[in-house]
Amino acid sequence: MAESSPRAGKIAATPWRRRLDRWLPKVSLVPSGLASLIFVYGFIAWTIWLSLTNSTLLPTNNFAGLRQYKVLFQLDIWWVSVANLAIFGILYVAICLAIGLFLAIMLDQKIRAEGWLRTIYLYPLALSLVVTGVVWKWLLNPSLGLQHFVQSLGWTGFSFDWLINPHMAIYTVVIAAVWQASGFVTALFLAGLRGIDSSIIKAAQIDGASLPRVYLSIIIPSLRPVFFSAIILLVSLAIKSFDLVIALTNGGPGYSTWLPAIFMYDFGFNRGQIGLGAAAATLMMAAVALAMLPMLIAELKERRDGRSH
Amino acid sequence: MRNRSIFRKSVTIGLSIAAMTAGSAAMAAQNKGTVSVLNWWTSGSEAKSMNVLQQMLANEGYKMVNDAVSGGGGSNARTVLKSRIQSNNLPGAAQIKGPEIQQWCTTGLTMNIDKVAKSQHWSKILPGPVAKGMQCDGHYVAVPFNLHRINWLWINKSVLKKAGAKMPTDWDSLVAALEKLKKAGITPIAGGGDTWQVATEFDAIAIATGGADFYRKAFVDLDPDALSSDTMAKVFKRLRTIEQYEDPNGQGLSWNHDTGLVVQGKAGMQIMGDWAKGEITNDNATPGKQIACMAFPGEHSGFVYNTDSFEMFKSAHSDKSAQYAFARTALSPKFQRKFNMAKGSIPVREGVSLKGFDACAKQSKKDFTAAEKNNALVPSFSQDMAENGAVKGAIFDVIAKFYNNKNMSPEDAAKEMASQAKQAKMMSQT
Amino acid sequence: MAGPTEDGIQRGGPIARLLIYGVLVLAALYFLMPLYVMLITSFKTLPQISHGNLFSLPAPFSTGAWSSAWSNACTGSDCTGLHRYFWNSVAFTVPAVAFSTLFGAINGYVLTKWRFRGSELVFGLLLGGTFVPFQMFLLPMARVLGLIGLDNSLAGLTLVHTVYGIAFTTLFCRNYYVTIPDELVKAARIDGAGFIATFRHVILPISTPILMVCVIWQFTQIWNDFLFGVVFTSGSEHPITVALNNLVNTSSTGVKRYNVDMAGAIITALPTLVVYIVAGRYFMRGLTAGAVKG
Repeated sequence: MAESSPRAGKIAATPWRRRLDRWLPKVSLVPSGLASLIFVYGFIAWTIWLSLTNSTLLPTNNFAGLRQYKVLFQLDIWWVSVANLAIFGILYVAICLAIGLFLAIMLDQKIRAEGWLRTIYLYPLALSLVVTGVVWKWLLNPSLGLQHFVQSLGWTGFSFDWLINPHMAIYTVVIAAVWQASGFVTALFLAGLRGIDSSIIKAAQIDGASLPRVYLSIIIPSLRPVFFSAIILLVSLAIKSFDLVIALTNGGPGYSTWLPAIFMYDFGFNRGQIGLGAAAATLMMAAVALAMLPMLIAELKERRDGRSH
Repeated sequence: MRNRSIFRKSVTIGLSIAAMTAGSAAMAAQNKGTVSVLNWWTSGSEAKSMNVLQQMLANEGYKMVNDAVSGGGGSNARTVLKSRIQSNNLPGAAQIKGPEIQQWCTTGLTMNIDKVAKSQHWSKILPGPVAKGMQCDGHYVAVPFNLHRINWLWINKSVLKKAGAKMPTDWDSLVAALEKLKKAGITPIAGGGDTWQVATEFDAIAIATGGADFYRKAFVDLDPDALSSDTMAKVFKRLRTIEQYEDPNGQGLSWNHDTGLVVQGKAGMQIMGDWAKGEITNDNATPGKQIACMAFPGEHSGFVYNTDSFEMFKSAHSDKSAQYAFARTALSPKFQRKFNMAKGSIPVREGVSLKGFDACAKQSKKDFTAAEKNNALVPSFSQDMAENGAVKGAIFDVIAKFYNNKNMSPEDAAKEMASQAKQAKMMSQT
Repeated sequence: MAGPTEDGIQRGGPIARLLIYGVLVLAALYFLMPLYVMLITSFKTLPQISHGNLFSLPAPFSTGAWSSAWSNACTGSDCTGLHRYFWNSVAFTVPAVAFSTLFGAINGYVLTKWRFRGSELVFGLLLGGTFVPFQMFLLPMARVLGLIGLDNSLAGLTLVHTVYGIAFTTLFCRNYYVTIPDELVKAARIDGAGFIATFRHVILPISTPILMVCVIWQFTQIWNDFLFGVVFTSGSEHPITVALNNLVNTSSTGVKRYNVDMAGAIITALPTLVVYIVAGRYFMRGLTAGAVKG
């Protein structure tokens, strides 16, 4: 196959190469497919199996039926984690998308310092959450950070104490998490915008469409694949959110900002209840799959139907 | 070419044989064995102490591979241990404490170190409960490093004086002092951060309110009657009182920050284990002088202890001889002095001079001896010493829930603690 | 009013431009605020941090924390700072980023331009890898790595990161290539270009923005990973993030040195920042325009 590639565009396709082209694409997917079969689906199966055993310190194979699930459903801390994931996940994805799209469109207006601004928006992703979580903890702490600062400027009535309020603390996690990821979503949208053929836009403008109109009816709809990528990415980040919460609130006040990832890690490793951790993981994967499946199917179907031939 | 390389090889071999026979003790000793040690001490005095231990072993000719992972009160180290076991790569020794030591014995992976225990007379030099905690079915599997006391109250003396309050001697006088501090515009108690910090306060209140027998029944035996008793409700009630004297804005801040507030006179007191001394010294104050240390006051006295320990594993990558040497050296008087002076704890074994330790350490030793005599020595539940991870976690959850929910009654909290602990115990046994 | 720019697209007037710049700068300030706090904290002394104001400038200005973080802070197995862990991270990040990006580009290319029956299903299955709760996968992964003899090694870590990165890079590339007209590929095939030649001469040249997205994402995720690094390497082979964690997370009984923590975090992030600046330059418009119109 090596000799066939460099002289592209010169020789007419031979039957031999046509046959090669039939199986080569499929073969090139094999490594990724195999890896995914073992390291994703194999491990998912293993996790589901563990959730049906009575594993404690180490994984065992003693079947215990649905006992772990029964216990899980009785745990207040599990339901708090689930509710938090819903609140956090929805807000985080929505806000990141909004900020990302908005900033990307702004940056796409032939901005002079685009490179600098884009780097500034992106840099939070570069910093380890182990430490930026601590900085946000300081910023959001009423007696150290913003509240203290604004009050010292004279607005003594200013209050911002979500971090220490068990009902509001999860929103501070959203604030810090959005700060971290929205710059990347901006880059993603920017790459999408850069891929759009500018002649389409020109044509629309010649037809008399205003700039906002062009964005709303031409550009944003054509960014649909980017939305898809961004949503999957953000959901993936949301369900893995761990370091940030540990550094920012350490799950507190109390366990009011626990998330399923923390639940799995703490029960699985720290509390020596691997079976319970596996049950939590299984349920979370199922819930995420259920939530994402309609979008996934719609997206894939759209692709197929939308094909022009 | 070939000849030359053979020549070179033989010269090297010849030289090394010469070196070995000429042998400085250190040279010859370098092959005595290796022990890999998984722990979560990665910074400050603790890391330096581990380096001291490494050096002491090296002097004897053993190689200690220090595999340290910090974070989450040892939770990352626990994760690493379990993963290592999965990939069949066990450490020679791992930092494990409390009843988890016995839990690990059931896996059949732990190593017997009776030989060292016998030669060093552990049953004589170690306090009874500590010695028992290092054994499975009568055989030693772990080595203890230190003795921390949990139920300390740290008080800024000058602040107390300024507020016109007296040193507390019992619960009522404590509340009176807190009230005076509050009126003087000072945060009475610095605390209320993470759940483990609240649980540490609960620990101190429990022994002072209910005494050692109650504490043992509740947290060691998990007796449902003790857990849901009026005494437990009283402990919760007192925790609520303490909480009301804390700065609500202190939520989520580290214990170090709290200690700093006490030293700087922005807060009056803190309930914390004796590792707080490191922070006090760091801030240019002396524990026992500007900052007084006293057992948390109440109707009962007692000593809630916390011991860091290392459990031995049958490891393909460690040598038995080196594992023995690790255990032996850790309990040597020289290391015990050095380590505990740096860590704020007291030596866990008899026969170590306390010369040069601060006043609080000496007080700790005195109280420890008294408590041992009066059977008032109890393992700290907040520091993983009384229950396994599952049960401890369940108890923590209830304390966290109560602390953050002002509508929860102390009686309900006690009842919930009993039921949650029972369920966690059941789940973690099979 | 609006005037045409060189690409012919109508832009807003000067007031609108001013507004846009205003918004962008405001956003920049929001993003920069925590960095400001980190920077000034890293130059403060410890008493200043515990007694002073969070936003006040360091006085006296001290660089001690930086040299400590780089060369003598304790990170567990020794007290020689972060510098020796730096190359560990480079050693597995670079190959893992390269492999996962390459696989992602090929997968994306096949899944959009060489579709076959079931290719959508393959894509859907690959996507499953993005929703994996890593915490629960540590133990089976440890077992697999142990079985193939790659546990406790940088090679094992490279494998893990490549495997879990492919899902993301495939997603990015596929969704980018899907917007590229199929006619482009068809034309190349009529000209006689095969599977590989089309990829090399038609697809790769117009892929720069999305490959940059892949590199930025993968580099960030892999360089900043802690969980896999801590579990699948040990001691002197630890990635820099594990060393940073060891430096930052004093056990509950240790003393915190926030200035060293902040300096360490910024040092750890420097390579990623460099990648952002370098990769970001290739986002510029014009790369695609010509090719797509082709």
